[in-house]
This record gives sequence, structure tokens and C-alpha cells, in this order.
Amino acid sequence: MKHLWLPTALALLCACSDPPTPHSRPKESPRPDPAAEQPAAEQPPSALQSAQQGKGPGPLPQSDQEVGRRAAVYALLAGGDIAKNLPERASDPGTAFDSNLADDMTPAQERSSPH
Amino acid sequence: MNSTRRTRWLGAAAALSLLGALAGSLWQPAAAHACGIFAPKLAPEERPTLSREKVLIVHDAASGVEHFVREVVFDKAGDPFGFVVPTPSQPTVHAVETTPFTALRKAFPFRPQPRGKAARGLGKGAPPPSKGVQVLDVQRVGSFKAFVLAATDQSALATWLTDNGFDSPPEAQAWLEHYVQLGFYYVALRYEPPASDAAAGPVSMDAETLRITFDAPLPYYPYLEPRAPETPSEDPRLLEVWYVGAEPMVPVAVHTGDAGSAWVRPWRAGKRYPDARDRILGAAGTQLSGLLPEGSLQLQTFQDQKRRRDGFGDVVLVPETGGPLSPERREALATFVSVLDPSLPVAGEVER
Repeated sequence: MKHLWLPTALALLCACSDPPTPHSRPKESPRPDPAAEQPAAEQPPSALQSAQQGKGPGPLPQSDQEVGRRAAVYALLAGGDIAKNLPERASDPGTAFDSNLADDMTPAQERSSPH
Repeated sequence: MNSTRRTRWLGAAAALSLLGALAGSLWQPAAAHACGIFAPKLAPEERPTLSREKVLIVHDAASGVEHFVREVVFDKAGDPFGFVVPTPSQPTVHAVETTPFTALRKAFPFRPQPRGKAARGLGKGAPPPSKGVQVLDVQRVGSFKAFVLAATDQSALATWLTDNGFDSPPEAQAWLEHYVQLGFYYVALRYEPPASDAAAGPVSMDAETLRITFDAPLPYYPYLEPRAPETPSEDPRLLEVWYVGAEPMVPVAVHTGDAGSAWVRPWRAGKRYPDARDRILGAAGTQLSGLLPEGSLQLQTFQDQKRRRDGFGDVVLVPETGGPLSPERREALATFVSVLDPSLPVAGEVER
């Protein structure tokens, strides 16, 4: 299975070598994945440092790939630009988001009053 | 959505991931539907369908406690059904007497933002223990019997569900295995219509609202659904989320498709309401006031209109403002590492 967030992990772990899988983009989003373009300097340092030092959680032996992926997850869990810049998928591919759907599906007495 | 279909719809619970029509003599082998409800062999327009979800998430970052409040709406009250909600820690289940969602919608409408901005012991009681499954609690919550479960074996969990009236179709096996590997807990909610309703056949029924409370270091939404066979459906589906917490959050999830896996924001962010404590209390009423964390609170609205969630994992809400993670915080968040990257092994042994 390809891991499209690996570019993020690799950006975080610039010292890592041997990219484990080819980079690719998600089919569902024509926009580039900004998370993959986050400079390492903007990533949470402690997660990065811990990952670089191989201090992932748990006693399981971890490959470089796993360390990178785990660090990327922690960087995402830390929040900030990585999360904010992810592509949105709130509707089906090829289907526009319908701003009026809630009103269409809500009984009149439950609808919000006009603002 | 036409009215005929609306009357046939069963909008049920939770991101609910696994919904199961009750197995029994009334039911033929189940046919899975797009939304994760498993229904008898009915015409597509007659199958129970998860069409509408309304959820209030209240998260106390200081204590790491989440209150997951969900409205369950269904029209076919005479039909039995059930669903399972996974949680990252042992949950408690509570009835919410008055649904807060009408008031929340009026007080905190979604209003999409421009793109780029971002009763215990009732019934038969707990069934005998099954190997690999622990029944931690059984209680009556409204029209449901709620079983709180822990499981260390996916097959045992599937067997328990089947033995207790929850249909567990083949496509649910991978779903169950996923959460067993994560060491999650489960709330299995079995709808038990009053005998008078069941005898009367399908009747309209008011929504019921449930609250599931559990420990979670970040707000969590059980969004993953069993991959169901394709069924023709053009019916809309809507998830509305109101999130209450101290700081703004961004919902994230992993999506796996033909090209691989990528993180996405699975919900559209709507209007946000800073300094909202008083308005929340005014809208949600006293029954929820005890759930609110101390300090300043903001409310965010989100919507999701995907009809199918194939390939999407569970949703974790991460801070909009990033910051370094302490080693202690990393340890606390370890639960969610495999949620956001299922290919990573779960760190440590699952102890229970």
C-alpha cells in the first residue's frame, strides 16, 4: 500500500534515506498536498526529534519507514498547518457541496432562523 | 429526498460504523447497505439507511474526557435494529432526555465558510461471557439496550454480536478486526421496541438522543464504516457536528483509495463561535451544562455530505494551532497513531 503522507514524513525526517515508496498524489484531490510541502522547520520539534532518535512509543522494533510514518502521524496530531492545509473531502468525488442540504433535510420547525 | 423514501429511512446512529439489523426469525440473511446498516433483502428504496447524523462533541482537553452526544432517528419503529459504536477507552452510556440539536441548530447554524479558511438490569441482563469478549456493562437507555464490550478476539466478538441479535455480515469482519487490533471498546446498542409498537408494525417514532462518554486525549469521531457492496442510491446523506472545546480544532482522517493513502479533512468547516459558553448553556439547557469544561469555550460547526465513506478512517480533531508534543503527550496520543495510519502496529500490548 502506498502512503501518500510519506512525503510529509520525509520532509520531517530529512535525514532519513531510502524513501520506502514512490510519492504520489491522492486521486480525489487535484490540489497538491500542502502537508507534503511543509518545511521541516515548521514541524513540532519534539515529535521530530523524538522520531529522529527512534523514540517511538512502545517497545516494538521499528524500521526507518515506520519511524518516519509514526513521526508524521505525531506531527499531524500536534496540529497546526499540516492539518489545516490538508485537502477537504466533505462530499463525494464530482459532487459539489450543497450548502442548503441541511435545510432541505430538516423539518421547518427545526430550521435555523434567517440571519 | 422524496417523502416516500423518507418514511422508509432509518437514520440511525453513530458514525456508527457498524449497524446491524437484528438477526432472528423475522429476518432473512442481511444485505449490507451503503451506510453500514445491514438490512433484510428489501428493495433498495425500502432498506433502512443512515441518512442523517447529528452529533455534539464536548471535549475537556484538561481531563481528556469526551462526551459524544448523538441523536438516533428512525422511522420504522416496529423493526428491530442495532449498531455498534467503537470507543478508544471504556465508555459509559447515558440517555439525554431532550435533544439539544434543534436548539443548537438555531443558536449555532452551520453557515459554510468561504473555501480556503480554513435502567440497568432490565430484560435478560448480561449474556454469559464469551471467550475473548467481556461484557462490562448492560443497561437500558431509552428504547435501547446498551452493552459495553471489550474484546480481544474478532471472531469471538462477531460470535457474541450474532448470539445477541446483532447481525454480523462478512464485510463487518474487517471492521471488527480493525478495532480489536486497536484495543478499542464497544457500545452495542440494540433497539428493543415496546411490544405494543412491534405488534402495530412500522410506526413513526421520535428521535432518541444518547450520550457516550469516554476518555480521549483528542476529540474522536468513530467514522469508519464497514465497506458495503455498492447499491444504487442517490439519496442525500448529511452529518452535522457541533464541537465544543477550549480551542479550535481541525478534523482529520486517513483516506485510502486506489492511489494509496492520504490524510484529508473529511468535513466542511462552518461558522465558528468564540466565547460561546453562555450561548451553549442557553441552547443546550441544563442537562448538558454539567458536561462543559471549565474556562472559555468555543463552538465549531461542521458538515459532511458524503454518501459513502469507503476508504475513510475514523476522525480525530487536532489543534488548529500546532505546538510541540511532550513525551507524555505523545504517549497519551499513541492510541490515535494507528487510527491515522492503520498500517502502523499498535504500540504496546493491549492491557485490560
